[in-house]
Formats: sequence, C-alpha cells, structure tokens
Amino acid sequence: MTPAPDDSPVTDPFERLWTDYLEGELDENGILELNRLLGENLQLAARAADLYSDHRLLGWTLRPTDQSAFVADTIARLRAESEQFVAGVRERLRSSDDTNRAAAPPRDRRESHLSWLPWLLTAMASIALAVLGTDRLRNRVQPAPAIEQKIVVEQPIAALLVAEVNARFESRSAPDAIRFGPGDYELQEGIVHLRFSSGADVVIPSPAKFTIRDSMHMQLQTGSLRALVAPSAHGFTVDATGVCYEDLGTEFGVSVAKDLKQSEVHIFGGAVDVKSEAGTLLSSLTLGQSARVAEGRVLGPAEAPVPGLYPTPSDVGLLGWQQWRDQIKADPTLVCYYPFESRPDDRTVLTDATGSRNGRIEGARWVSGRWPGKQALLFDRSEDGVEVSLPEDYRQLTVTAWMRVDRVDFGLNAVFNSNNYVRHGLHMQFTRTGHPYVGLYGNGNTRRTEGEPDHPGVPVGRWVHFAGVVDLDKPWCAVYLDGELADITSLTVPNLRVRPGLCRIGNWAEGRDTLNPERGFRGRIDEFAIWRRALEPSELRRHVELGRPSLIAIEPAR
Amino acid sequence: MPPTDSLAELVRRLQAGDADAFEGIVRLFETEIRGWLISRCPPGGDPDSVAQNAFVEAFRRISEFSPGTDFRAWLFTITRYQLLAECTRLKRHADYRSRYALHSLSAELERRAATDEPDRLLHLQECLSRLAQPVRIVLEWRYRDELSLQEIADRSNRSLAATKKWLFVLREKLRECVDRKLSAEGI
Repeated sequence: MTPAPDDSPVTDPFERLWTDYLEGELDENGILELNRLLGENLQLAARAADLYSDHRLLGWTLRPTDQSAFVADTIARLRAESEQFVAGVRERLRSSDDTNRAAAPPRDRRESHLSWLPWLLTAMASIALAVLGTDRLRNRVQPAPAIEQKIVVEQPIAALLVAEVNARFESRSAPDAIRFGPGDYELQEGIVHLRFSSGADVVIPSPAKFTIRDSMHMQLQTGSLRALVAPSAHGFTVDATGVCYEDLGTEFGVSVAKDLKQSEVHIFGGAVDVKSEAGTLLSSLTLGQSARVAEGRVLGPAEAPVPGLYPTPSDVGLLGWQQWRDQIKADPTLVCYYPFESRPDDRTVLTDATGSRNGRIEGARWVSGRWPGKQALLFDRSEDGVEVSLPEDYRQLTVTAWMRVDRVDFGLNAVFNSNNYVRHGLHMQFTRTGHPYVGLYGNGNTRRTEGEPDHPGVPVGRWVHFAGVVDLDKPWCAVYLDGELADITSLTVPNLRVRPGLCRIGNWAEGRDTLNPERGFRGRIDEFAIWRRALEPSELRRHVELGRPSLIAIEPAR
Repeated sequence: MPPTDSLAELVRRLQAGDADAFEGIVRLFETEIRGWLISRCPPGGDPDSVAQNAFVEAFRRISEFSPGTDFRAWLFTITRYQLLAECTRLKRHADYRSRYALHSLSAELERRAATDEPDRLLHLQECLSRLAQPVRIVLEWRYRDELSLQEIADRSNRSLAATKKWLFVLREKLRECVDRKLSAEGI
C-alpha cells in the first residue's frame, strides 16, 4: 500500500468532493453535488459510508485517548443524573405526603398498584443505595405508600404514542419510547396523541403534566387534553383539581388553569359525569355544555375555549405533515413536489414546491384532503387531470402519491401516465381488480409480475400511499402501497431509458388503445412527488408514517 | 476494582447494589462500544455522548439483565437503541433541513446502526499497522496531529492537490484492505 501522489488533476467528481467534505471545505453547491451523486448511486453511498466510518475510526485510533477520562466522565454523568433523580424523589415524597393528607385516592385505584409495589421498593432501594449508599437516603426511601403513585418503573403498557409533533418530555418523566406505563409524565414541547389500551384516544398539547394510573384512568395536573372515547372505554376518567370527569361515551376536553386550582371541561359530543373523588355525582354534562370546577365544586359553565386548547388527532396529523412538507421540499434529489395547495390567484396551477415545474390543472376540482385544512384535487370526470412536463432522461425515478380511490371505472386506471404511447414513456396504473404496476413503454410485451401476487392491491375508500420506483440499474420497476411491495416487474429490453415527457397526474391523454381508451382516476390525490433516484423501502415507509391520515396504524389494504 | 473480577462477578456485584462494579464494566467495554459507535454515528452526532448514554441506561436497567445470559449482547442492544435515538434526534432537529447534510450517507449509516454489520475497527488497525512509515506518517499528521492539508503539503514537499489526492488514495486503500479482511471472514 504505497500510493504515489502526483499533481495530475482529479477527474473523479466523487474523489474531489469527498476529500473536501472530510476536510470541512465543501461549500453548499458542493454538498448539493455530492448529495446528488450519493443519491443516484447506492453503491457509492455504501462506499462513502465505509470511508466515513474509517475516517472516524482513524481519528480515534491515531489520536491518543484517555480511557480513564471517558470512564470518569461516564461515572460523573451517572452520578449527576442520579442526584437529580434522588432530588426528584425527595420532592415527590414531600408533595405526595401533602397530597395524601389532602385527599386519599379511591380504593380501587390504590389496589391497582399493589401488585407492583414490592418491585418498586426493590428498584428504588437498589438504585438509591447503589448510587449513594447513605443511611439518610435509605431512611427517606422507606415511606413506600407515599411514593407508590409517583415513580415510573417498568409496568404493563397502559397507552401507546400513536402520533406526535416535536414532542419532548422532561427526562425523568418520559415514556419508554412509545410505551406509557402507569406513572408521571411531563410534556415540555410539542404535542402527543396517546391511545390507551382501553380504546380511549387522548391528545395532549404542551406544556402539560399528567399521570397515567391505568388504561382507564389518568390525572391532569397542568395543561389541557382532548379525550375521544370509544365504546370499549366507556367510563374512562380524567382526574383534575379534586374531581373526576367520567366519560359516558363521548369526546371532551379538560384543562387545568395555571394556578392549578381550577379546571374546566367542555363536552364536544356525548355526555360526561363530574364526580367528587369519593364518587359523589356533582353534575352531568351533555353535548355543548361545559363546567368550571374548583376545590371539588362546580362553579358554573366555562367560557368558550381558546382556539388550539383542545387539538384533535387530525390537528396533530396536519401539523406533522406541514413540518414534513417543509423538510421534504429541501431534498435536492426531488424533480418536483406538489403539496396540493391552491393558489388564490390561479386555481388551475398546481404549484411545484421546488419551484420549477408547475402543473396545469385540467378539470379536476379543489376539495378537502387527508385532514381538515389540507387540500386535494378531485378527479371524477373524463377530462380531469394535471399535466406535467418531464422531458429529461433518468436512470432512476420514484413517483409517490397520497391518493384515495372513490371507485374503479376502467380496466386500467391511471395514477401518472406519459401522454400517448411514446417510447421510454412512464405508465403508473392499477387494474380494475386493484393490482398496481409501473411500466415503461418500449419494454416489449415481456412484463411479468415477480413478487407479491397475493397483495390485495389498491384499496377503495381510504387514503393510500402509492409509490412507483423505476431503476434501470437493477433493472426493474416496483410499486409499493403504504410502503409494502405490491408489484415488481423486470425490465428486459436493453438500452432502456426513462423519459416521461409530457405526463398527466390522474389521467392518460390521447390513447390509441381501443381496449382501454379511458383510464381516468376516480378519487382524490393530495400530495405528489417525483425523485430522480430510487427511494429505499425504508424511506417510503417513513413517508407513510409521516403522512398517514389516520393516526392509528394503517390497516392492510383490502 | 480488582483486575481479576470477571464480567459475571461485576454484573453480580452491580445487581447487588455495588456501584463500584459499574466502573469495571465501563472499562471492560469502553473501547468496543466507542469504536462501534464512532464508525456508525451519522455526521453531527456525538458518539461518545451516545456511549455514555448507553452505559448509564445499562446501569438503570441492570435489574432487567438475566444472569447467565450474554451481557455483551444485552449491552450492545441498549447501545444500538441509543444510537437509533440519536439518529432520530439528528433528523428531527437539524440534519434533514441542513444545507450541509449528506442525506444518503446518514441514511446508510442509520441503516447500519439497526443491523449487525461487521465491525471495521480491528481490521482497520491491522491494515494501518502494515503501512510503511513514510505513508503512515501522513495519516498521523492528518489524524493525530490534526494538521491542515496545506501544512501536510508543506511538510511533505507536495502540492495541495497532490496531498488531497494522496489522502484520498490512502483512505481508499485502507477501505479496500478492510473489505478484503471482512470478505475473508466470510461476512
């Protein structure tokens, strides 16, 4: 290994860009160029990852390192966090003593914790003793009943995080990834949507402090929440400021004022009983009613809530998508990106968020999309479509769309088709039975389905993420629905290219096919993007995760 | 900590509440964990911080470890999740929007973080040891002494362009050497 340097100019663009990147000398244009190179060639990306790993390891191997310093830092970090933990325990001991004196919790709730109390005491004692080993602390840990409701330990899952936007919990009051067991939580930033195992959905914006007791009970200390309670969770209860808001099959919002002495409840649907902690009925509220409560007494109706106080699951979805939209449009490998937001000055233009390829809307009408406030185009007439021009050649191309099929009228139904029959043209369609596929005109009659013949195909009546991937280096075309492979087709003709040319979203123009002359899409599309690379399945699944209209896991396609 | 303590003994002591045993465990796995993380942490991430998080998390969860099972595998599982959390944090807070992020590189490294990709550290060290000293010194100037490329060029009486090219070729040769060794392992 004795390479001889010389002064000959570097001709390999990757070599030039990569060296400058590792030296921190690559400017913004260089980064764009390197991103393009890596994005277009997965093998090069893998090689870059190897080189990057070696680069970091070289720095670590050749630079003298002090193991002791790392060990000392780690021990110090553990000690600092443990001291915070112990301080938190002390604080909770004090507050819990006060709480217990003020109001004992109903018996059934206390019993629900007895099964894990011994484990809790063991865990508490072992952690505290291991870290500090002081008699003083050992004494403080002993009052077990006072801390039983306060410490988060491994518990059966009471709720799962099904959606969030920028959520950040206080480090000692955070869930275990997406799992929420009984315990205290403090949401400092963002917004979360929890689904309890009982079937209740709860949306909580920050800032908020709350305690999950079990799958049917929670307590709100500060902040607000909206609860949507499925029939399976009737009786779901939110405790706040000394009363219990018990669901009778409903959707309701609860908030606790900043002074922590007063709470409010607003009934958006169904009915809620307001009860004292002892179980005495204080008030029954139904649709449209509200109440202010303080010190265990109902004071009267509450004022109308300020906007945003009780966000819905759809609000979480739309907010998350808006952030996603802003991120994705900065991707340098995008050819075009249509978030489907109408222009007030010209509703016949479909704006390309990357700025270069606006589409021309023909017939399709603006309607609502995946969430309230999100726009879509409705395609339901013969002439409906959006014309887009892609005159360039590509080696790889990925087309993605969020779409909802209302009905399937034709033998072939276009998602995105090159106009007419043009050699190297792109055809992304699905059959009357819902089977999706991507074809390149000029690939001969050799199309064959290789994978997932049992996939249920494009669903009707719900939103689905459609992704067509063409990769001439493989060479194949593939379709993914909601991130799962639904079809893959070999490209068997040599010297193929991908040259979409003039295309239509949601239709096919001027076909000479006497068997399938009409291929109009019937339904809504509310997001559409094209990349000049073959997106990985993991990326597509991430798109699905961040764009899914339902905040609960997507059901399998039909 | 007595140097003769076995891993099993350290774990037993830690589970019994002896916090000093934790230091022994950190010393035992420090190099392996840090090396593993350094080769996989995406640009912008701090592998040493992730390593510390992993050790602290292991301490917190020590009661969940079943004696007699593979502690190293258990620790690496925790480390992997810590790294994936770091990847998520980077994506959420900066990288995706950053004009200076290499998205494909980060994606590939994140993919590797979630898999059992073979470790390159030992092979890299071996390949490095086989370099002739005049060649190795260039890498030492770059990585140990952190000289600028211009300083390296001046010291070696070469142009800046030739120095860049030399470094690139050297890194490629090392990568190929490591890959050959991994292939020979049948990985």
